[in-house]
Amino acid sequence: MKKLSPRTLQSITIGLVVLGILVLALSGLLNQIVGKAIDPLVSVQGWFASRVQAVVEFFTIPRDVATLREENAALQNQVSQLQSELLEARQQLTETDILYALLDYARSRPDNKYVAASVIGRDTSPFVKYIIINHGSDDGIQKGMPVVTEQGLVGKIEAVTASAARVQLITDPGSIINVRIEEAQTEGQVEGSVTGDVSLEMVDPGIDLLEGDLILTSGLGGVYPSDILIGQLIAPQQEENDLFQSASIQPVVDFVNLRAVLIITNFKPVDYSPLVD
Amino acid sequence: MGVFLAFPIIFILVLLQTTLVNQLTLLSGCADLVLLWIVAWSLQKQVRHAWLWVILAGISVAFVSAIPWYVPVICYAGAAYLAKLVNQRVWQSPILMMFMVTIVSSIFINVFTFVSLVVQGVNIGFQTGLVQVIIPSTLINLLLALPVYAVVKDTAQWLYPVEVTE
Repeated sequence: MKKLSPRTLQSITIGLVVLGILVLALSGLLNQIVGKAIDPLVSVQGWFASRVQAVVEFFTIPRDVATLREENAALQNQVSQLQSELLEARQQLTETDILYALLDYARSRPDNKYVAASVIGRDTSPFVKYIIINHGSDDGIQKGMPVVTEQGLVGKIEAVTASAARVQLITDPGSIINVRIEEAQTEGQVEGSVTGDVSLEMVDPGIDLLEGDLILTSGLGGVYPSDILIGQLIAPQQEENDLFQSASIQPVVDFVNLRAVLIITNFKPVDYSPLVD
Repeated sequence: MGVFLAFPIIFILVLLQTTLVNQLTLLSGCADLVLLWIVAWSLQKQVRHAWLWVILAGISVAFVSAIPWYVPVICYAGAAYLAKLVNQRVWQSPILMMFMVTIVSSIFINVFTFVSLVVQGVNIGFQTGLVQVIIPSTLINLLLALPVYAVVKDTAQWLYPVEVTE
């Protein structure tokens, strides 16, 4: 038998070792050995990477924070601006709704001429109920002109300057309006009060007043045009020996949240002062 | 400086009164910011030209309000006079004086307004006026007296700084 040369023996040994390793790898037995050998290397790699990252951050983070702060400030400004615009848009939308309602009302009564005005203030004294509007004699507003909304009667112009006017509300304690009660076909007077409540007075005691009856201006006296809605009758009161009966009225206009009004400019109230004096 | 600042400050006060303060109501009463300012301003010892502020405030409110013109003019002048009087003669505690003058002047201006309206023919019951307006207004004025006094004191100190001598 021919003796194997040392070189051939070496090749066979290497081949067997490689084959053995392959068999071990394929059977999965090598993973544990490889894992134990690689774990320290991975730890070293991780430690090194974290240190490198720390060094990189040391040089780069300050610049990023400054950039982020700038971006944050810019975004906050943008948010504030957008919120402001949103608020303005909502405000405009509300005003547009009010103006559309007033426009609808004005279109439904083409005989009258109207000037729309915004409410810019209220009287300083709690004893009187007046509002201040942003149109005056420059816009053709005169003392005595009736003021309405799409809901109903608000009051009348009491004082005028060039660019503003003061309106006496129907809730003012000094306000007295001649009215008619739609269903009962009778007349009476609507008076304001210091509390802002409105009441119906001077009604014939023989008339049956019912809750829900509509109260409209009668036009009597020439201070207001006729047939403007004031409110609905609630809680009629009649004492046995009273000369007149009275009732509380729920006004159709929300005087607390009054934002815009219409002034009827082609109505000329009758001036009784020469007759009285 | 104080004279010139009277115009914008009174304007701002009337603006606040007509838009914001009169909507903060207790029953039917509300605070009178201008009156409180006038009282607090008159209680500041170092303030000069206080009467100009009083007249300006009276005219401004008389112009804006529907109440008779003489009511704010007389009442603000009366309130300022009372404040000056107690400031010079009675107590040395300004906060107490502020409260006292606020109560007296609030009742005075509301009762005077009530009487002037009744004389004009406006139908207001005394009990309704008292319960719904006079007492609530006085209470709200008392509530606002302290913050208004603090603001007025700072404003007066800024306009007329007092030199501290040892």
